Amino acid sequence: MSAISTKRLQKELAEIRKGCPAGITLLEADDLAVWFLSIEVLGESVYKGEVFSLRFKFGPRYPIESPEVVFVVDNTHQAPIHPHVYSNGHICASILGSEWSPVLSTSAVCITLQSMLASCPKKERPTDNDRYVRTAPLSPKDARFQYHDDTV
Amino acid sequence: MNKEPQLFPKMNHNEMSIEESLRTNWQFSIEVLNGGREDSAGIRLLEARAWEIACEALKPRNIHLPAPPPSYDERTLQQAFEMLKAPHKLRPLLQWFLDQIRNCRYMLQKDILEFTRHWEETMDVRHFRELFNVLSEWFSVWGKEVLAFKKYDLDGHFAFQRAFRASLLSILPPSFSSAFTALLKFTLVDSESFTPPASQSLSRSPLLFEQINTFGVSEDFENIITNVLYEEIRVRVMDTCPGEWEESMLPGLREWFTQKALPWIAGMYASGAPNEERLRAVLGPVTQKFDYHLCKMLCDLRTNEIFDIIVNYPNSMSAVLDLKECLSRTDQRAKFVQALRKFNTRRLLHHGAETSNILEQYINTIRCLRLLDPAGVLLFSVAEPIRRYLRERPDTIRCIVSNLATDDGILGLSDEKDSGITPIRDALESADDYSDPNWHPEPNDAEPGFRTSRPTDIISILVSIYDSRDLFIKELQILLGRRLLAITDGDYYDEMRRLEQLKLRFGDTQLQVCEVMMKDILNSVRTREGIRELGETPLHPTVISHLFWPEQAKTSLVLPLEMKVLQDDFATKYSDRNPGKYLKWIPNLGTVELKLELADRTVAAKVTPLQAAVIHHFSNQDTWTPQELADKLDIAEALSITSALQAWENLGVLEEMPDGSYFLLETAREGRGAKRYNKMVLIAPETVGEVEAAETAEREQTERMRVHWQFIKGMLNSFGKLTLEEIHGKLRFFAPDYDHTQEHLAIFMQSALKEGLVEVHDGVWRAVR
Amino acid sequence: MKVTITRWDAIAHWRWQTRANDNGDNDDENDDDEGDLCGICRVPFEGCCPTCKMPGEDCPLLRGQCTHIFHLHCILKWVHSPQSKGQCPLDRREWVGL
Repeated sequence: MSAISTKRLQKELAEIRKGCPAGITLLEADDLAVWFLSIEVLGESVYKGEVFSLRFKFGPRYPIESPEVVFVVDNTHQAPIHPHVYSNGHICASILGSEWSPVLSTSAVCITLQSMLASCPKKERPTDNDRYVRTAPLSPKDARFQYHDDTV
Repeated sequence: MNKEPQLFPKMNHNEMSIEESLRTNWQFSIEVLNGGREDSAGIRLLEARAWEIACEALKPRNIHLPAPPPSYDERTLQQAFEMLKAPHKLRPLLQWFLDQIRNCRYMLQKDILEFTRHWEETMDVRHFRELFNVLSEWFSVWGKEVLAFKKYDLDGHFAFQRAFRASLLSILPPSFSSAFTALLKFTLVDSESFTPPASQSLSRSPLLFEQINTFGVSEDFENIITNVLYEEIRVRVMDTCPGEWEESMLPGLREWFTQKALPWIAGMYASGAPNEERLRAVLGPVTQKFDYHLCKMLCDLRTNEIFDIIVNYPNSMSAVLDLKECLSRTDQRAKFVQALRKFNTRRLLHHGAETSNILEQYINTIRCLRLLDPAGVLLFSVAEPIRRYLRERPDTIRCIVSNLATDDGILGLSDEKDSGITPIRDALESADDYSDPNWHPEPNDAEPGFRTSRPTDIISILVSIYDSRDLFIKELQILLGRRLLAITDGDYYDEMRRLEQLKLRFGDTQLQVCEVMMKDILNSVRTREGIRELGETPLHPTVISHLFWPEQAKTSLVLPLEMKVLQDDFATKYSDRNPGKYLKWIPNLGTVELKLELADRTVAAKVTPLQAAVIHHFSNQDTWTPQELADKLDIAEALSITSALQAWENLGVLEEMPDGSYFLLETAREGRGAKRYNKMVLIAPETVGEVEAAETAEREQTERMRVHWQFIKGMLNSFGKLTLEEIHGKLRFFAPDYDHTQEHLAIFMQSALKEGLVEVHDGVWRAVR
Repeated sequence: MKVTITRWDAIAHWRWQTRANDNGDNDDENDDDEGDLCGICRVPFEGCCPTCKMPGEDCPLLRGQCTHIFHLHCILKWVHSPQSKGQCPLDRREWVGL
């Protein structure tokens, strides 16, 4: 990791440890470059009672470059069924790609994703889910998303 | 005769009757031997006569009675022996003689008892010495004729010596050994301190040992003799060595042993040695044995003194070197470690000792034990408890750091001059390197955890007391801040030099913060010079990059206009010179030199900004109450106002009125001797505010730790008592967001202790309920 | 009584003028906090960006037309990166440094 990303991540981690936004919990950050956070939608929503897990991977150019953020999909975790979330956990959100800004932080990203879920009226997969998942690159950052919705 | 044949009837303790009964018995035995036949009576009579003659010659006599004239001449005696040889009567004759010796021991006993009693009464060893002369006489008188047996291949002398020894040993009274010990001691001491004429009669100890050898009892007395010498060695060591650490004592002791003690004891072990070479061969092992004892005595003494020897190091270096040799000879290392640990616990590692003293002693211990045991095993065993204790002391780091950053502290960098300054090594990073050609296995008495390849320079050792260097850096930062702000003459050279040295130790990155501080200081000098070119000002500000400095204890203070004008003027000029930047003053810090021109006198003083602000207001209005001033200056604590007022009162400038207000004394009060204060007076303790700054780091730690207090309390309540390690371990495991080192925890627990929330005993903590 | 200050060793912080009216007089602002942070590196303006060692002139600030301020080194890194599209990280308006 570079000095820039390390210092910035240390600061963020210290802040998150002091207190996370409601519904968001730091699960693991043993490796400064890979964090896991749990996220749930508080209040009424189609995801009521569901807890999801996010994985952040930070590159050496963070925060100039966006982090790689996916929902964890494994034996115990599922990606939320949402029109912008593929079943392999990849997220189609502009702030993680073209609309990334270095002033965004890990918790800001979490809050954005939380509100993305909260505002979802109906659980459904993206229309191109099967095709995308078949051909998806390992990292969503290598994918070229057509952002379905400019609001997120 | 109907009597049972008795070859040797019981002795009657009367000499005449012995002789008579012998004769009677003899006649009787002949009869028995001959079986009553008469024909060989002539021969038998001759043999009987020969036996009689031999017995007469051999018979032990009382030397205290006048010697009777010899009954037979030499020739007759020889013939008698010849006569007894053929019928194999010589061996029985010898046996008879030996029995006589045993039977006559009562004669010796009388003398021995008498001499011993005399000694007991008078403690006069000279007189007791005579006993051995008397015994010698007994020996020579009794054993005079026994040589005759030698011709007939019978070792009469040896047999006699054995019989004499047995008799002698069987009759020694209990007090004999004390008397003999006293005598030996006397001859040993005497042989060195008495001049020959005075000691002639007595101290010829070789003769005494010869006598003892002659009696064949030297082995029986060996214990007594060696004990006397052991004791003398002990006395010698205890008389000459305690507290004598500045020169090596071992050579002197050995010299004494070789010159005085060895010749003395040579008399016993080597009286029969034919030549010098043989003598040396015999004495070799003996010398070794006593040299061991000598080393052990000195070793015991120095071990007992070791704490003070370490205190006095390096003046006591000779004592350490002696001890090193003694330890290598005697293998008392375990005992040494045990003793030093005990001393440390008792004399060093307790609340009564200042941290700086503990550190100083630790450093001396390191230096001392390194000399003693270059492999470092002893040091490791002794150092661990000290390190553990230091770790628990809250001011250890500050103490190390303040010494680290001075030239003449206990860590005086001079020590490192030879080896050059080395970067600090981590204790943890020095694992065994088996590819190192100089690698050796750990010494066999090394404790677990011992590593030969530990950091060796003293500062690294001290820093390694703690797992992390962050606290040192923080403390260095605080110290540097305090010192830089205290410098008013612009001479920062020493601090710069020290910082460079510290950078070599801790590395540039770690000391980046200090680097910024130094740069701020140098920039401030330039700024002041530049601004003074625009117009004279008494203001000498230091402009700091506040994020890189220890937190300054800032309080609000509204300065009087006269002072604020100076600040504003400077600040404006600063912003002109440094576009985009402006200044924010810390009004309560710094020092102000003032000149007060009063009606009858001038007072000069060096004061705090608050004190300056207070007195300024008196130039416009001559009476103020503390509360009015507090409002005016926007000071919350009335106490600091009052103390500022009192400071001026002490200088005779103000006077407290009965209503609690203060009044300016334009003219000095009678008897207040205001003239005295014409000189510059320092009423501001320079440390005000700075002490607080120094404590900031610790306080910050404690505050950050406070969030875990409930957790700690809960643990202590449920577990009863816990060690620091256990608390730390459990917090790390269970407490959310716990990211402190054990040292932080120790500092926190120490403050909890001060607050009476917990108590600690033997390193075990419990909650106070 | 006449009081004269003959010498005054004082201590001051320097700060960046990040607000239009900054002149050192506005003591009413929060003195105790670390001051404003650079949104990119999250280090206070008076500290230095992660690549610098010395604060102050060695690591100056840059104000954009949009009035947003960052460490010079931080914002240059951002605007030179393709992801930035030359926009201010805070308002996505075109970044024009002043």
